[in-house]
Amino acid sequence: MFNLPTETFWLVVPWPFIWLTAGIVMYFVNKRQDDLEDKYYAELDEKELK
Amino acid sequence: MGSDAIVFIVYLLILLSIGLYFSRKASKSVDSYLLGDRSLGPAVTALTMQSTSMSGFMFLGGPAEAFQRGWYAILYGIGDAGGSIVNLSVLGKRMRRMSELLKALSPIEYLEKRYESTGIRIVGAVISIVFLFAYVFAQFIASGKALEALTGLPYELALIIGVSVIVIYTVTGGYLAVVWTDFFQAIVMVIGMVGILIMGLIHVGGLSGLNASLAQIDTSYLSIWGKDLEFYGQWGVIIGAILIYSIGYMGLPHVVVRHMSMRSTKTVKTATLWTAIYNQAMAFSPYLIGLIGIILLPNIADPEMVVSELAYTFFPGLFAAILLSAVMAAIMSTSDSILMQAGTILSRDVYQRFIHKTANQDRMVLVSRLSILLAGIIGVIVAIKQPPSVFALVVFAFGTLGNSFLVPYICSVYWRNSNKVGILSAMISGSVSHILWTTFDWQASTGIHPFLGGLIVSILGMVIGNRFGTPPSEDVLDLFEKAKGPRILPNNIEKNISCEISPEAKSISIFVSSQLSVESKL
Repeated sequence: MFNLPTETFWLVVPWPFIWLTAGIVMYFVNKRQDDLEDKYYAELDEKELK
Repeated sequence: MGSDAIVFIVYLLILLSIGLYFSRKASKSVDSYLLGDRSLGPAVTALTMQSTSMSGFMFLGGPAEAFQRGWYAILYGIGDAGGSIVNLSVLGKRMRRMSELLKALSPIEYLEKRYESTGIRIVGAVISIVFLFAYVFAQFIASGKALEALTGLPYELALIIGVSVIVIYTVTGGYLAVVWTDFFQAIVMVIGMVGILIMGLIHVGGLSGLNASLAQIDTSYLSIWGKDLEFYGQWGVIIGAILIYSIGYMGLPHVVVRHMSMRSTKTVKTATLWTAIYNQAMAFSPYLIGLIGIILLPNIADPEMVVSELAYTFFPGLFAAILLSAVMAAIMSTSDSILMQAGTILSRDVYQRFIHKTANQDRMVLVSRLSILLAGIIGVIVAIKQPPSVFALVVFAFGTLGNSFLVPYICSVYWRNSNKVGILSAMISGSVSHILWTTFDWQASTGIHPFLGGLIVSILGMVIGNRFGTPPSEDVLDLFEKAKGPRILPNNIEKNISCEISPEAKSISIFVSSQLSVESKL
């Protein structure tokens, strides 16, 4: 593929896809954490108001 | 005056305007000048982190490495492409929370307050100042070389012009000017880099054509083990080359300070996405351009000039002017951040901490500005006297800073009972081992990259040193727990817990009600 030796191809070409996937996964992991945090603080505020 | 010079002058004027625009805001308080009031959003955080990380090395050192060693050099790009994703994911949220809880304005002050040790601040400040200076000298040399080659000005004059612009907008606008110019320059960099890559690939017949041509010259250019299989079987070198830019950023004070200046912990998620996309476009390009240079410019005298020679030989005119701006953007966006950080450390960690403890806001801002100016002047003098290769100096300074601070910063947010003796051991052993590894070329005898060697020694220093110190105070441990964020269990786990404890709850309730009924009968 791309006239590269097999070893070089498999050591290099997957990386951009691995990093992009890692970035997208981390986005959703952090989003979930942020949502849970918001919910936690909202509940805490409600309790304090009561 | 040619169109390229006009474009470049306009570009420099834009940078200076940004610096002046933020100068009033910067003078408001030390917090504003040194950390931009912790107000940065995701796009600015991501791109300033990226443009700061990607220095003149990307346009000079990186292509030269690929020109000399072939596809092996792309290993550095692999690490670089993921560096900020790793950095934001590992340190981002926790360091943002912890630095605010500790009221730390500089990454060195942060370590001192986290471990309640003046020694850490002294050692940290010394290592940072020495190697940040080495790093910025490399940038200044790159700036002089690039301007000399592209404008025909003498090296010294070119150097002074390039550095003066950086120093002026950094001194006047402070941290906000630095991050906003970085944001702007990151965009210019990617346009210049990707543009020249596309045009270069068209000239050599695409990636397949490039590799076919390389194979005709020397098949070992295509090997991951380096030209003439220089590093054949040396996995320690290969892994080190990937690690230096994938995790090394977490040890650079001028990069980790970006975590401290984010608007909130929520900035991390979108910043990660921005950097993931930006890096894939940017990180591999310089090395591919270096490979294109082997085909199109086989007789070039200085391989560090591959990018600029390609631009001026094959794509003259306006595009070359944009590229010149992009080269300078890479250099300036890193230099301003390093100068800013050196100024912060000198003013906050040295002047206010040890010389004038009661210095007021105005005086602190003034001292920061003078420190940046001083650093710039010293930098120019050294860069004029001793111009070594950009690649060697950047890798050396980067590696030493990474080996000194990577382990301490990670432990500060993940290892609750890590203590000051461990941190000092990690910092000293990491930096010393990297210096020795490079100076005596232990890579040749051990087959291990200096960064990997320094990292292993630093981790050992941390683990062993930590056995001798006393744990941090209760106050700091309390802050450590708070920095983890609220401990929230996801809904499904909470449901499972309630399902799991329901039989016990039922038994307890039956037992309690039976006891009550017995008591009432009595």
